[in-house]
Amino acid sequence: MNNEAKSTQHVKKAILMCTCSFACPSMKDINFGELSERIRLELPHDYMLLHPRLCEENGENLLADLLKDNVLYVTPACKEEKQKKLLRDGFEKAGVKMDNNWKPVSISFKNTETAFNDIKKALEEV
Amino acid sequence: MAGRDYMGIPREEIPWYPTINADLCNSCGSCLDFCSNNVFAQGELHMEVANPYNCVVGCSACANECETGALSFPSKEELVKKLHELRDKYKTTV
Ligand code: SF4
Ligand code: SF4
Ligand code: SF4
Repeated sequence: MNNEAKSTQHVKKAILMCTCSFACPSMKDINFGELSERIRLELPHDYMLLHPRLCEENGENLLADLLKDNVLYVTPACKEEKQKKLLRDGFEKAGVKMDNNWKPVSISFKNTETAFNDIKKALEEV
Repeated sequence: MAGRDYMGIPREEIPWYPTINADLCNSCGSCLDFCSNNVFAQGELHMEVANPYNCVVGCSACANECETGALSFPSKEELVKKLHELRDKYKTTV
Protein backbone atom coordinates (compact mmCIF):
# COMPACT_ATOMS: atom_id res chain seq x y z
CA MET A 1 0.00 0.00 0.00
CA ASN A 2 1.23 3.44 -0.83
CA ASN A 3 0.48 5.74 2.07
CA GLU A 4 2.48 8.64 0.69
CA ALA A 5 0.32 11.34 -0.80
CA LYS A 6 1.81 11.96 -4.22
CA SER A 7 0.82 15.43 -5.26
CA THR A 8 2.77 18.54 -4.26
CA GLN A 9 0.18 21.14 -5.22
CA HIS A 10 -1.91 20.92 -2.07
CA VAL A 11 -2.64 24.38 -0.82
CA LYS A 12 -3.84 23.25 2.60
CA LYS A 13 -3.18 20.53 5.14
CA ALA A 14 -6.13 19.32 7.17
CA ILE A 15 -6.35 16.85 10.03
CA LEU A 16 -9.45 14.68 10.24
CA MET A 17 -9.21 12.77 13.48
CA CYS A 18 -11.52 9.85 14.14
CA THR A 19 -12.12 9.21 17.84
CA CYS A 20 -13.84 5.82 17.35
CA SER A 21 -16.69 6.97 19.59
CA PHE A 22 -14.12 7.73 22.32
CA ALA A 23 -14.71 4.08 23.16
CA CYS A 24 -12.12 1.96 21.39
CA PRO A 25 -10.01 -0.05 23.84
CA SER A 26 -7.02 0.39 21.53
CA MET A 27 -7.28 4.17 22.05
CA LYS A 28 -7.94 4.11 25.78
CA ASP A 29 -4.64 5.84 26.59
CA ILE A 30 -5.39 8.82 24.36
CA ASN A 31 -6.86 11.96 25.87
CA PHE A 32 -8.50 13.38 22.74
CA GLY A 33 -9.10 16.76 24.35
CA GLU A 34 -5.43 17.20 25.15
CA LEU A 35 -4.31 15.71 21.85
CA SER A 36 -6.47 17.98 19.70
CA GLU A 37 -5.51 21.08 21.64
CA ARG A 38 -1.80 20.27 21.38
CA ILE A 39 -2.17 19.68 17.65
CA ARG A 40 -4.00 22.97 17.24
CA LEU A 41 -1.36 24.91 19.17
CA GLU A 42 1.83 23.24 18.05
CA LEU A 43 1.57 21.58 14.64
CA PRO A 44 1.57 23.24 11.21
CA HIS A 45 -1.80 22.63 9.55
CA ASP A 46 -4.73 24.68 8.30
CA TYR A 47 -7.60 23.11 10.22
CA MET A 48 -8.69 20.05 12.12
CA LEU A 49 -11.87 18.28 12.99
CA LEU A 50 -12.71 15.41 15.28
CA HIS A 51 -15.42 12.98 14.33
CA PRO A 52 -16.65 10.00 16.36
CA ARG A 53 -17.11 7.60 13.44
CA LEU A 54 -15.75 8.64 10.09
CA CYS A 55 -16.36 5.18 8.64
CA GLU A 56 -20.13 5.15 8.96
CA GLU A 57 -22.89 7.03 7.21
CA ASN A 58 -22.59 10.26 9.18
CA GLY A 59 -18.83 10.34 8.65
CA GLU A 60 -19.10 9.42 4.98
CA ASN A 61 -21.60 12.19 4.44
CA LEU A 62 -19.16 14.60 6.01
CA LEU A 63 -16.29 13.39 3.82
CA ALA A 64 -18.47 13.54 0.73
CA ASP A 65 -19.35 17.15 1.50
CA LEU A 66 -15.98 18.34 2.78
CA LEU A 67 -13.14 16.80 0.82
CA LYS A 68 -11.46 18.86 -1.87
CA ASP A 69 -8.76 18.11 -4.40
CA ASN A 70 -6.33 20.77 -3.28
CA VAL A 71 -6.22 19.72 0.37
CA LEU A 72 -4.04 17.03 1.90
CA TYR A 73 -5.88 15.09 4.57
CA VAL A 74 -4.03 13.50 7.46
CA THR A 75 -6.32 11.06 9.26
CA PRO A 76 -5.36 9.90 12.74
CA ALA A 77 -7.61 6.86 13.35
CA CYS A 78 -7.42 3.05 13.42
CA LYS A 79 -4.63 1.11 11.72
CA GLU A 80 -3.75 2.28 8.23
CA GLU A 81 -4.96 -0.77 6.28
CA LYS A 82 -8.26 -0.63 8.11
CA GLN A 83 -8.69 3.06 7.38
CA LYS A 84 -8.01 2.43 3.72
CA LYS A 85 -11.00 0.11 3.53
CA LEU A 86 -13.25 2.09 5.83
CA LEU A 87 -12.72 5.60 4.46
CA ARG A 88 -12.66 4.64 0.78
CA ASP A 89 -16.37 5.22 0.21
CA GLY A 90 -16.24 8.73 1.69
CA PHE A 91 -13.34 9.71 -0.57
CA GLU A 92 -15.06 8.15 -3.56
CA LYS A 93 -18.29 10.02 -2.88
CA ALA A 94 -16.30 13.26 -2.75
CA GLY A 95 -14.51 12.41 -6.00
CA VAL A 96 -11.14 12.87 -4.28
CA LYS A 97 -8.36 10.34 -4.82
CA MET A 98 -6.94 8.68 -1.72
CA ASP A 99 -3.61 8.14 -3.47
CA ASN A 100 -3.12 11.86 -3.95
CA ASN A 101 -4.85 13.47 -1.03
CA TRP A 102 -4.65 11.17 1.96
CA LYS A 103 -2.12 10.25 4.59
CA PRO A 104 -3.32 7.89 7.33
CA VAL A 105 -1.80 7.76 10.80
CA SER A 106 -2.58 4.86 13.08
CA ILE A 107 -3.26 5.94 16.64
CA SER A 108 -4.21 2.41 17.71
CA PHE A 109 -2.32 1.34 20.82
CA LYS A 110 -0.76 4.77 21.25
CA ASN A 111 -0.93 7.18 24.15
CA THR A 112 -1.46 10.93 23.81
CA GLU A 113 2.27 11.63 23.49
CA THR A 114 3.08 8.94 20.93
CA ALA A 115 -0.04 9.77 18.91
CA PHE A 116 0.99 13.43 18.88
CA ASN A 117 4.50 12.57 17.75
CA ASP A 118 3.24 10.30 14.97
CA ILE A 119 0.84 12.97 13.71
CA LYS A 120 3.69 15.48 13.80
CA LYS A 121 5.88 13.13 11.78
CA ALA A 122 3.11 12.58 9.23
CA LEU A 123 2.67 16.31 8.77
CA GLU A 124 6.41 16.74 8.28
CA GLU A 125 6.47 14.01 5.64
CA VAL A 126 3.78 15.49 3.40
CA MET B 1 -7.21 -4.78 27.53
CA ALA B 2 -10.05 -3.07 29.37
CA GLY B 3 -12.76 -1.23 27.48
CA ARG B 4 -13.66 2.38 28.10
CA ASP B 5 -16.80 3.63 29.74
CA TYR B 6 -19.28 4.79 27.16
CA MET B 7 -21.21 7.96 28.02
CA GLY B 8 -20.44 7.28 31.67
CA ILE B 9 -22.00 3.81 31.48
CA PRO B 10 -19.84 0.79 32.41
CA ARG B 11 -19.06 -1.02 29.19
CA GLU B 12 -20.21 -4.39 30.51
CA GLU B 13 -23.75 -3.07 30.88
CA ILE B 14 -24.12 -2.40 27.17
CA PRO B 15 -25.11 -5.42 25.10
CA TRP B 16 -23.23 -4.46 21.94
CA TYR B 17 -20.91 -6.99 20.36
CA PRO B 18 -20.91 -9.32 17.36
CA THR B 19 -22.84 -12.57 17.34
CA ILE B 20 -21.45 -15.36 15.18
CA ASN B 21 -23.78 -17.68 13.35
CA ALA B 22 -21.89 -20.95 13.76
CA ASP B 23 -23.65 -22.50 10.76
CA LEU B 24 -22.34 -19.76 8.49
CA CYS B 25 -18.85 -19.27 9.89
CA ASN B 26 -16.11 -21.04 7.91
CA SER B 27 -13.28 -19.91 10.22
CA CYS B 28 -11.68 -17.83 7.49
CA GLY B 29 -10.17 -15.46 10.07
CA SER B 30 -11.03 -12.20 8.28
CA CYS B 31 -12.78 -10.76 11.33
CA LEU B 32 -9.90 -11.74 13.57
CA ASP B 33 -7.38 -10.04 11.27
CA PHE B 34 -9.53 -6.96 10.85
CA CYS B 35 -10.34 -6.03 14.44
CA SER B 36 -7.52 -4.70 16.63
CA ASN B 37 -9.40 -5.15 19.87
CA ASN B 38 -8.93 -8.80 20.66
CA VAL B 39 -12.67 -9.41 20.39
CA PHE B 40 -12.40 -12.61 18.36
CA ALA B 41 -10.56 -15.87 18.99
CA GLN B 42 -10.34 -18.90 16.74
CA GLY B 43 -12.32 -21.70 18.39
CA GLU B 44 -12.11 -25.39 17.57
CA LEU B 45 -15.15 -25.42 15.33
CA HIS B 46 -15.63 -21.81 14.35
CA MET B 47 -14.63 -18.27 15.29
CA GLU B 48 -15.68 -17.22 18.77
CA VAL B 49 -16.37 -13.89 20.46
CA ALA B 50 -13.84 -14.12 23.28
CA ASN B 51 -13.94 -10.56 24.61
CA PRO B 52 -17.32 -9.07 23.72
CA TYR B 53 -16.86 -5.93 25.79
CA ASN B 54 -13.74 -4.97 23.87
CA CYS B 55 -16.05 -4.29 20.93
CA VAL B 56 -16.50 -0.56 20.33
CA VAL B 57 -20.11 0.39 21.06
CA GLY B 58 -21.88 1.08 17.79
CA CYS B 59 -19.13 -0.33 15.57
CA SER B 60 -20.09 -3.06 13.12
CA ALA B 61 -17.23 -2.65 10.68
CA CYS B 62 -16.12 -6.30 10.77
CA ALA B 63 -19.51 -7.45 9.47
CA ASN B 64 -18.51 -6.11 6.04
CA GLU B 65 -15.40 -8.28 6.13
CA CYS B 66 -17.36 -11.48 6.63
CA GLU B 67 -18.14 -12.95 3.23
CA THR B 68 -20.58 -15.54 4.59
CA GLY B 69 -22.73 -13.09 6.54
CA ALA B 70 -22.03 -14.89 9.81
CA LEU B 71 -21.63 -11.74 11.88
CA SER B 72 -24.57 -9.78 13.20
CA PHE B 73 -25.16 -6.93 15.63
CA PRO B 74 -28.16 -5.43 17.43
CA SER B 75 -29.97 -2.71 15.51
CA LYS B 76 -29.10 0.94 16.06
CA GLU B 77 -32.64 1.48 17.37
CA GLU B 78 -32.16 -1.25 20.01
CA LEU B 79 -28.85 0.33 20.99
CA VAL B 80 -30.35 3.80 21.37
CA LYS B 81 -33.25 2.42 23.46
CA LYS B 82 -30.86 0.55 25.75
CA LEU B 83 -28.62 3.60 26.14
CA HIS B 84 -31.64 5.68 27.19
CA GLU B 85 -32.42 3.13 29.92
CA LEU B 86 -28.83 2.98 31.07
CA ARG B 87 -28.39 6.74 31.11
CA ASP B 88 -31.44 6.94 33.38
CA LYS B 89 -29.92 4.26 35.61
CA TYR B 90 -26.56 5.99 35.83
CA LYS B 91 -28.06 9.49 35.70
CA THR B 92 -25.68 10.71 33.04
CA THR B 93 -26.67 13.85 31.19
CA VAL B 94 -25.56 13.24 27.65
S1 SF4 C 1 -12.57 4.80 10.94
FE1 SF4 C 1 -11.47 3.43 12.32
S2 SF4 C 1 -11.12 4.70 14.15
FE2 SF4 C 1 -12.79 5.64 12.99
S3 SF4 C 1 -14.71 4.80 13.84
FE3 SF4 C 1 -14.12 3.58 12.03
S4 SF4 C 1 -12.98 1.87 12.94
FE4 SF4 C 1 -13.01 3.49 14.51
S1 SF4 D 1 -15.14 -13.40 8.89
FE1 SF4 D 1 -17.09 -14.52 9.12
S2 SF4 D 1 -16.70 -16.55 8.27
FE2 SF4 D 1 -14.70 -15.59 8.64
S3 SF4 D 1 -14.09 -16.29 10.68
FE3 SF4 D 1 -15.14 -14.32 10.95
S4 SF4 D 1 -17.30 -14.88 11.34
FE4 SF4 D 1 -16.31 -16.69 10.47
S1 SF4 E 1 -17.58 -4.22 15.49
FE1 SF4 E 1 -15.65 -3.11 15.36
S2 SF4 E 1 -14.76 -3.22 17.42
FE2 SF4 E 1 -16.45 -4.71 17.32
S3 SF4 E 1 -15.49 -6.63 16.81
FE3 SF4 E 1 -16.10 -5.71 14.87
S4 SF4 E 1 -14.38 -4.45 14.14
FE4 SF4 E 1 -14.02 -5.01 16.31
